[in-house]
This record gives sequence, structure tokens and C-alpha cells, in this order.
Amino acid sequence: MVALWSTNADELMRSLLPFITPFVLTATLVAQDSIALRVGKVITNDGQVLTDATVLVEQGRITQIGDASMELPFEVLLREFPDGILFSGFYEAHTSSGTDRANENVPIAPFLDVKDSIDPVAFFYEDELRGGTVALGVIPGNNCVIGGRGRVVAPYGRTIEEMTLSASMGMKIAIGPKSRWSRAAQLAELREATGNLTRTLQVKGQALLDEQARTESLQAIDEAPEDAGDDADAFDSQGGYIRFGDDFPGKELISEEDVDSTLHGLVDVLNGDERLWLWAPEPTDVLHAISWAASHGLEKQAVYVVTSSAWKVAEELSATEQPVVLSGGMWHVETDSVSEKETKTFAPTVLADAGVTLSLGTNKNRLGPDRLAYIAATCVREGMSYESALAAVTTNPAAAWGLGDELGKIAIGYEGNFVLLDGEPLDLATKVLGVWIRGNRVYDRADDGRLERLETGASK
Amino acid sequence: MALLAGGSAAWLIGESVRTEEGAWTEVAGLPVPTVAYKAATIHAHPQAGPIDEGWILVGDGKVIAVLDDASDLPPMLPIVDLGDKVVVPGLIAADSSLAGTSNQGDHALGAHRFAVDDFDAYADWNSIVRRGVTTVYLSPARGRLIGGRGAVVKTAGKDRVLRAQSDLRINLTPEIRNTPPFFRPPIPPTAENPIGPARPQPANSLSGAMLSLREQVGGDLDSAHGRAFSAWLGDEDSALRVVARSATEVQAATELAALWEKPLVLQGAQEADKTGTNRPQGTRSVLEIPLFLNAPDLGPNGVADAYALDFAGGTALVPGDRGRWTWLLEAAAAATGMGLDEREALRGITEMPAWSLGVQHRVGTLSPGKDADFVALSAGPLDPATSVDSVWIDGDLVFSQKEEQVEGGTVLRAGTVWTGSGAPLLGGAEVLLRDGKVVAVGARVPHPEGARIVDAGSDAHITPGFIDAHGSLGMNGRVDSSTTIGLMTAGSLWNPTWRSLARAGITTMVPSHSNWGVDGFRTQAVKTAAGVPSEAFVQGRHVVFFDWSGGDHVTRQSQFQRSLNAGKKYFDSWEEYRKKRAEWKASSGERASTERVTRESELRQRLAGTVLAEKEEEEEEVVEEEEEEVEKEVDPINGLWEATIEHAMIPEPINVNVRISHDGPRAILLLSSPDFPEEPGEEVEATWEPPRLIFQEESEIGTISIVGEVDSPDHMNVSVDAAGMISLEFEAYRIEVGESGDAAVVSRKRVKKDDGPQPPAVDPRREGWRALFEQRAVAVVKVQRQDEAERAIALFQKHELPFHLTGFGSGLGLEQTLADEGIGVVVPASLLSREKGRDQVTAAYFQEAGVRTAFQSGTAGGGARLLPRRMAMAVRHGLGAEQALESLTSGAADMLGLQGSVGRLNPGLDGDLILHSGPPFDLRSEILGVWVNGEEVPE
Repeated sequence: MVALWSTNADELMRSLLPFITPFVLTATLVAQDSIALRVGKVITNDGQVLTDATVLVEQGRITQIGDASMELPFEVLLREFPDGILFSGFYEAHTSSGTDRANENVPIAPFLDVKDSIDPVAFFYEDELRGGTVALGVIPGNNCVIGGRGRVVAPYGRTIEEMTLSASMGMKIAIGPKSRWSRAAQLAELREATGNLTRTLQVKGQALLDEQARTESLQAIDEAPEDAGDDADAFDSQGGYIRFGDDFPGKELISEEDVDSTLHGLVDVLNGDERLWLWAPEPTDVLHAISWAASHGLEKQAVYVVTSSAWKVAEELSATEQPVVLSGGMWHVETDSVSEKETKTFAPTVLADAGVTLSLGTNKNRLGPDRLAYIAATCVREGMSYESALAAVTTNPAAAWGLGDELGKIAIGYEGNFVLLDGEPLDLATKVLGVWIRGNRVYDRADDGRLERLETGASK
Repeated sequence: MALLAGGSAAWLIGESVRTEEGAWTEVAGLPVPTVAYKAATIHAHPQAGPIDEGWILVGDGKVIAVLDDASDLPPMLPIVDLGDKVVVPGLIAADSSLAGTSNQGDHALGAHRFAVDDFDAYADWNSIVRRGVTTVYLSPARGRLIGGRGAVVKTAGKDRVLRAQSDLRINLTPEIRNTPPFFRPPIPPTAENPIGPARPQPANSLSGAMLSLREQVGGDLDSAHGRAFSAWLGDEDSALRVVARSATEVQAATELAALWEKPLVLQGAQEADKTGTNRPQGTRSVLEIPLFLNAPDLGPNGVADAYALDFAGGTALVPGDRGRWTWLLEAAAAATGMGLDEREALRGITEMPAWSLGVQHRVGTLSPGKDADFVALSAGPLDPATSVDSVWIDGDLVFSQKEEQVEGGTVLRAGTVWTGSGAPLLGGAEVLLRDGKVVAVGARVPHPEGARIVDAGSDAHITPGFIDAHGSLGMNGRVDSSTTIGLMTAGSLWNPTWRSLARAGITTMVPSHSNWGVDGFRTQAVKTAAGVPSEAFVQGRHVVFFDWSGGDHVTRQSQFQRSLNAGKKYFDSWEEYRKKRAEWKASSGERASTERVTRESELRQRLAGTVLAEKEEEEEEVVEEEEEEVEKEVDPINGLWEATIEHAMIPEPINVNVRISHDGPRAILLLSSPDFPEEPGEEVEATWEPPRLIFQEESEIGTISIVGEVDSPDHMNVSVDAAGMISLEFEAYRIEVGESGDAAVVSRKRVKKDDGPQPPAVDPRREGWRALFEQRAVAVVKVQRQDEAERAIALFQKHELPFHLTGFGSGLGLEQTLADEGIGVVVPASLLSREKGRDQVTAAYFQEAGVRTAFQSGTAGGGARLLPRRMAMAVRHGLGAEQALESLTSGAADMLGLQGSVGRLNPGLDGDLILHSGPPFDLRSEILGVWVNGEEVPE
């Protein structure tokens, strides 16, 4: 009897597990997702600096911000850091670090997703957390034509689901050539991909029309085909999946089911359902990217990922009114082929002065400048306003992800993500004391064993 | 009558009208001219020939007209004067590898590849523009059967893409026969879409290529290429470009053009003449001109044959085989060499490629309405010496050598060039200076890119820079033979005194004061305008001035003989050292190699041994330490010491041995010398005050004190002071350690590091003689009387030393000897002497007698910078101008041994020259400019 019960209970548990787990998890999160912090200073990224302020996070979101005397719900734990500075944390707009490999070896891979590539326990994320980064846009690398989908993650969590802040970061499309490809080959490949898709859809549309005609004629002679039965996913088999390009016969009949799953990514792109991260390393690539987006009616989906040479097309980028991410170094160095004179241009200020909404990315190849704080501080040194430099590593990346209303600020309604600092965020001597993601403390400098060993020199 | 480039709007319509002279015709729709460019020669329309002295009217980036008559110029029009430049339409490259040569796409059939995608307006186009290229064909994938659609772009300007999708490029040559199979792995591989083998691609033969090309007619809407190919077939403006070199390939190309009903542009086409005349109407050729290889297939008349075949369509020229695609001027010149008419050759890189590329309405000639793209060349377009001076696109300056400031050297052009050897170059000649040297002299020298071209006109003369065989500038203050003379002119380029001398034409001067003596004053020839020390003087050569004049000749003779003997001895000591050093080097090389072998074998043995050996070594080290401890107890001074005493007052160095024994402060010194073995040793008493050994004695002249200080084991610095009259210092070494008390005696051998033989001490007074004996100097001896001259000649000739004479104004009756023996005379500053009631030019007198002469400014009043002027006066009074020139340039250089650096305008010599407005030494001429070490001396 006991054995029987236990077997049954086991089976029951096993069968229920998939359903129970989310609730259990949610329950634990809810219990932890509320906290109140009373700190010496809050940098809101809204142009305000609050002193002696209290920030209340409930259910992972900031619900109240007030002064030191703000009343708190009795069940919320209050933590006080009278000398600390609460800051939104840094936002890495665009990176392919923390994945097992940046790119697949086929040029057209819209079906890929970094979800399958992110390694939650990579030291990279631990380091980012330690450095005060609270969110990263992880997306396939640039050595591709259509690279795959990215997602916004926090540098904390045991699973990719736990890390994910947003699964809809968008699709990587490289306008700049793959390594060893010419620009013409790159663009021909892209043209081939979209052209072939259109052709496939046209053929499919015609086939569906023919099928429809056949069904109708069968119905007309009252020989209706056998009922196909209940469609398991009625929504997927509805027509109207294709919303881009010129009309062609049968276009409105095509449903998601009718299209090969490997092509869904590309259809999403052309339908305008995906944010597009257009890699354009050279000025001429930027122009190609702008015109490519325009020719497909995707101007408002574009995020331009550029390098320092893009200062030459600052006006063109500004005119698009779309976000721009500057990756790699910030200095553009050019040597005249005749006089061998070297000219150095600091790209961020040129772009910012032209009115570009700029996000700054780090260059993971280098040790020193591999910090968003360092990059933003350099921008300030080179003449960018403090607010613009700070926005380029906080609110602008969040906006580029389309999450400008949820991430990047310490404001009511925003996610409870922030870092506690012991000084100004762009001061290189500032230490990150703690990091909270959705109200959960995920990093505490006092508990950072690795850092402690590094600082004390202890070997074990 | 104005010659309108094109004459009428007919030029804009087509090729049927080629040349036409006509009155000014208003061309409707053209903008108003806003600027005119004036040039000496304008090839507005290559086929019509050049216009001399013309104006290009430009408005809004377009050519409005080309005029040859200033009276037709609209009033108040600003004029940009391009000077003596030759203007041609901007060059057009009918093919280029600008979009890459490989990795341009892996499909063999790629009509969907657009070369315009490779157009990068932000790239650095300087290296292309500076070759005069203003329009370029961007080639799609070059190594594929169907490469894709080409594009035509300008290298600068506003509206740069002339044709985004021009012709479809097909390559039929063997270059495409190794197209790799096409492979894209399916991801994810599924049952319906499995990983298959790579798909083979066409073609491995011409017939295979033609097969797949013929298949293209139907169109294949399922592939990107097929759709793009169909689009091209429907594009009426787009031609078919086929790269075809052999006759069969050309034939195949013709067939394709007929099949697809497309105008054909045939690239390569070397064997076009073998294919007959059945090519479609309007076929154009882009002929690849072989620049390096012979092309026997071109036929006996080279290009002309192929060209004649296709005359109606015209032929564009591109550099073939290994030429760079920007070498258009070279290709045109080479085509001329193969028999093509010069005008047609220029047309082949301007107008004809415009037609081939379908952009003739925009570029190619300077016709009304076309883009104002032109190139100013330093000489005629096919001239081997021509270089691009400036490039203008849409009427804007986009490249200028002046602005680029490329270090391309200087080309000087004058009617007459005196090189210093042989007859002058008449009727226009050029000198190229670069990197401080003369690079070329001749009727036509290379004009490197960026070279500054100075054309002084046909009246001008160029001579080598003048040499002042003896001047006194810069000799103020203490200057003796030990001074590095040359360094005093370092920076003379910025010194106004030196600069005025250089501007006067004296580019080289041998500086010296006038106080010479019998030991000689050694000096070097200096450059009068130099920026850095290394360029400030003629390296490796010296001039030594001697004074034989005055006094009785017996005394003078013996003084000279003594000085010479001392100099010879000094020279011999150096020779001896050189010999010993060489021997030592050879032997020490052997020794070193033997030692190395020993060391290596020891090392090998040690490495072969294991830990045990290492232990042994440690023990050894301990032993060594113990020994050192014992050594520390060795008495510091007891023993035998050795020293060598040298002093100016002692004729020969003396070796001294001193045996020292001490007991406390009292020390007994036993002195002896191996040089004087018969002398008995002398014993003196001294005081030992560690670390000093002090000896003092009162003598007649005062206190003599000798102090020896032991500064390191077995080494003592000794200083001797004899009553303040004589003081000398020497070092003493202990060669044998003596006993002392119960201290352990450890005999140690003095280890002397073997550096080999050391050079003798440098004696500045004898350096002049040494230089003479070593044949790297020339002597100039001042004599005033015949007997002095004779004795000087005898002495120097006896020792075979090169020399010349100076100091006298007439022949001294020795003219014949001087002429026969080749002894030159440095003519004194006073060029005119009055003899027998008439003025006489001293130099002329010598030259008439066949004696070599050089001139000196010496210490004459007015300074060295008046020397050229004085020479002009001398010429006025009877000195031959050519002789004067020789004496100031090549003659002086030869006499003074400077011919390896200065004196002539020969390639490799220093870039020193003078640009005269007229004949040199003509009082009506002036000096227009002076170059020293290749640099113009600033005003």
C-alpha cells in the first residue's frame, strides 16, 4: 500500500512537474522581488540626482521613489546604504561575447537564435556583473549575411530563461562584407536570399490558389474532400502571414504553416516584426544599410551598428532618426595614401553633435578600455556632455532594444535593476558594491570570493 | 574665329560628327560660365588635335566651351591660369580591379552581382586621382563566367555614380576554367533538405561555357541570377561586355551578342583581326595593351591591325598583362609605339572608353555640356617625361602636386646646360635633382610625380655651382687644423652670411685663414648652404695649405724637410698600426674560434653530466671563495711594480721597475729601468700611508713630490710634481707580489685584457701630411718666387704628393713646367694685374700657357660673394668665358680632388647648380636661383 502510494505519488509528481515548476519558481521570485533601498544618492538618468532617497521595488518593478522618510509596506525589507550611490547600471547595447561562437558558417541563417548559444556560466557574465553591467544585448556576430536573432539578458542566472530580460532584441544583418567577401558578393547574397524567398512565396501562393480552385470545383460538383479535421493550431494556418513586398496571386492565402520553418526568420524580418541590427563597418556600408532598409520599408526597424569611421556619415545616420551603436574603438585613424599624414577623429562626439542617438559598445579584445565606464569617461574627456555620455551607456541602449520604458532608468514603472556604487559612475576608481536585477540582489562585493582572492593575493 | 570644342551641339548627339570648326553656337540648356581655365595646350577633343593657348569655360561643373581666342571670352570672367601645362580630358579606365580581383562571389553565374555595391565613396581615391584617372569602370567578379553587372563611377566630384548598372560582364578566357564547385550546407539538414555534394559549376572549357550561356536565354526565375539575367536582357541601355582574347573566344562573344541582341564591348580582343568582319554593328573594343610582354599575335603592325578592323567603333585602351590598371598614359604611349596614331591613342584613354562604358554623354571629351573633368600634365600626354600636375573634376581641383607636397625632386629646364664635361647641351635641356643629388641631365629627363618643374626659358643657362678654391668666410676666431672645418657651415642654409654667398653662386668653398706655415693647414671643402652637418662638407677629402714663401730658401727647405719627415714618420706609425691591427684581428679571430670550440665542448660535457656535476660545481665555488679570503690578506704594495712614463719632454717612453717592500709606514723603493740596464738601481725611502705611497725630496729647483695611490689591487696611479715646473701622471702595475709578514703568499699573474694593437695618438699638426700621404688630400703651396716654386715642386714631386701652387700673379718663368707636370695654380684674388703698362688677366695668362687654374676669393675685399662678379669682369677683360667656367667648376674640382662630389652636373654628384638668366659671366645676366645639395637656396 505504501509502495503503491509512493509509486502513484511519484508518477503524479512527475506528471505534474512541468506544470508546477513555473508556479513554484514564480512564488519564490515573488517572495524575493521586493526590496527597499535607502541610499545617499540616486542617479535616476532622468536628469535628476536625488539625495537621501528611498527606492521601493515590488514584484521586480520600481513602484515608489521618495525621500528618507518615505513609508514602506511592512513586509518589504529595507536596506540602508547612507554613503552609497544608486545608479541604473551600465547597458551593453550590442555584443556577441558570452556565446560559444559568434557566427554559424552559413551566410544566411535567420533561423538561428543566441538562445541556443549563450553560456550562462561563462566568466564573461560574472565579469560584466562585477563591472556594474546590468543588461547586455547578445546577438550573433558580424561575420555573416543574416546572422540570427539576439536577446537582451542580465549577466545573472543559471539558465538562459532566467537571464533573459527580453527575447525580442532583433535580427543581425551584416551589410558590411563577411571576411574575405567583396561588398558586391555580400549584397548579392542578401539580395539572393530575399529574392528567393519572394519567389518561393509566389510559387506557394499560386499553389494555394490552384488548391483553392480545385476545392471549389470539387465542392461545386458536391464531392467535397474529406474534412481535414480540427486544425491543431488554427491561428498558424490562417492566411495573411505575408505582409511585405508586392502583391502576387495567392499572397493573402499563405499561412505560417505554409512556409518552411527555416524561412520564418526572414519573413519576420521583411514583415517588419523584427528589430534589425545592421552591421555597417564602413561609411559606404552605412549608406548601403540605409538604402537597403528603405527599399524594404524597414527604416523604422533599423539599428545601425557602426565603427568609428562612421563619423563621415554622421549626417546621414542622424537623418534616419534611428539608434546607432558604435562598436570597436572610438578613434578613427586615417593615413593619407600620398602624404602619409595621419588624421585622428573622435567619432562619438562627431556623431553626437550631428544628433545621432548613440550607444557605445566595448571592445572585448582589449583589457583596459573594456569597460563601459571607461568609454563613457573618455567621451566626456573628448568633449561630449556628461549626460550624453552617460545616456550612451544606459538609456540609449535600452531604447535601441525597444525597452526604453522598462530599462535604463531608476524611475517608477521601470524594472528594479540597479547597481550600488561608492562613487560617481564614470569615475574609474568607483567600486561596484552591489547589483540588483528585478529587485533581487545578484551581486555583493563583500561576497565576491574571486575578487577577494585577487585583492588579497590569497592563492586558495 | 573661336574653335568651339565640338563646334556644335552635334557633339552631344553622337559620334557621326567628329571634327567640325564652326562659329560659337549657343547650346541650349547650358549653364552660364563662371570661370575659365587657361592653359598652354588643350586637347579638348583628342581627335581634333590640340589647341595652343586656350581657355576652358566652366559653369556649374560643366564645360561650356573651349576657346582659342581671348577676345571671345565673356567679360569679367575669372581666369585660372594653368601656365605651360598640357590639358587633356580626364582619363577613363575602361577596366579596373578596383572592386577586387578575387573573392567577389562564388557563383559561376552571377548576373545578380552588382559591382556598384563595391563602390566606396569614402575610400582613399588619391592614388587613382593622382594618375589623372577621373572615371573608372568597376568590374564585377573577374574570375567568373558571368561576373555580374559593372558600374561606372567618377573618382571624385558630386554625382559620382555615372552608371550604377552598366554592362553584363562575361569572361570567356581560361581564367574562369577553375571555378570551384558551389556549396552551402543546409542548416538544419533535414530529410527534405539533406547535406548534398557540392554542385559543380561551369565551365571547364569554352564549349562548356558557351553551353551554359546559351541556356540563359529562357530565363530561370527560381534563381537570383536567373531573375537578374532576365532583367538585364530587358535593359536596352546595357551592353554585353565579353573578355575574349583568342580568335575563338572573340567569335563566341560575337555569337552571344547576336543571340541576346545586345551591343558588344569586346575586351582583350588581341586576335580580333583573325575573326573576319562579321561582328555586329556598333561593336566596341577595349584593347589590352601589353606593356611588358611581346605580343606576336598582334600581327606585324601591332595594334594598328586590330585597330583598323574596328576603326568605326573606336578602341579604348587599357594596360594589359602585368600593368597596373591606372597606367593609362603608359598604355596610350605604348600603343603609339605599336603603330597607333598619337591622337587616336589619347582618344583611346579618354573619348573611346566613354563610349565603351556608355557614359559618352557625361565624360570623355571637353565638349559643351559634359562634365568639366580634365587633367593638367607637365608635358604632352604621350611624352615619356610627363607627369600629372593637377586634376579637376566637375571644375573643382581634386588633386594638385603642389598641395600634396610630394618629395619628387626638382626638374630645371633652360636653353643651355653646361655640365662641366664637354660641350654644353644646347637648344633646351633639363636637370633632375633629387635627394640632394643630380639624377639626370639631358634634353629630356624624367619628371617624377610631384617633381617641381622650374622652366627658366630658352635664354637661360644652367651651370654647375661655383667652387671657391680658397675663401676666408667663417674663419674668425680660433680655428686650427684640429677643428672640424665642415661643421662650421652646418646650418648655413639659415645663416644670412653664408646664404648670400650661396645665392651669389658659390656653392662650394675651401675655407682657410691665411696663416699657413710649413706644417700646413688642413681644411675641407664646405657647402655654402647646408641644413645638416652631414651635408655641410665634401666628405673624405682634404686640402692642405702650405706657405713656402719668404725667408731664405735654405732655411725654408730644411724646415719643410723636417716637417715632412715628421709627417712621414707619423704616417708610418699609422701604417704600422693598421698592419698590426689587421694581423691581430686575423689571429684573434682564430683564437676566438678555438676558445669558442673549447667552451662549447666544456658546456656539452657539463650538460651531459647530471646533478652530480652541478654539486661539484657548487663545491668549486666554495673553494674559490676561500681563496679570495686568503688573497685579501695579501699586502697591498709589497712586490715588484712596473710603469711606463711618457712626457712631452722625454723623447722616448721610459719603462721603470720599482721593487717595494714596507714594514709599517716606512717603505723602501728600489728603482731600476730595463731601458738602461747598465745604470745601477737607486734606493729611496718613502712613506706608506694607505692607500698612498708618498715620496718627497728637496732639490735645487724645489720640492719634488711623487704620490702613488693604490686604487685597486695591484694598480697604482702615480703623479709626479717637480717644483710646479713639470707634472706628469702615470700608472703602475704590480707584476710580482712580495712577501709580507706571515701573510699567505698567493702569486697572481697580472691579467691584461688583450684589445690588440691600439692606434697611435692623434697629432693634429701631422694630420695634414698624413692625409697627403694617404692620398686623400691635395696640397696647395704658397710660393712667391721662382726659386721657392722650384724647390716646392721638387720636394712634393719627390714624395709623389699631389699639389698645386698659389700666391703668385705671373708665370715666374715656370709656365712650361707647370703645364707639363699638370700642376695647377690657384689664382689670387686680384684677378687683374698691371704689367708692362697694361691690365692683364692673370688667369688668362696661365690658361694661354696651358696651366690649370682655380679661383679663390681669399681674403680679398668685398667677400667671397663677389667672386662670380669679378670673374665676369675678368671675362670682360679677356678671359674666355668657358675657361672661366671650367676654372670655377670642373677644373677646380679636379685640381682639389673634389670631382667625386662637385664641379659637374653628372648623375650621382651633388645637386649644386646655378640658374642664370643668360650666359654666365655676361654682365647682363643675373642669377635666377642657386641649388645646393638639391635644395634651392632661399632668398
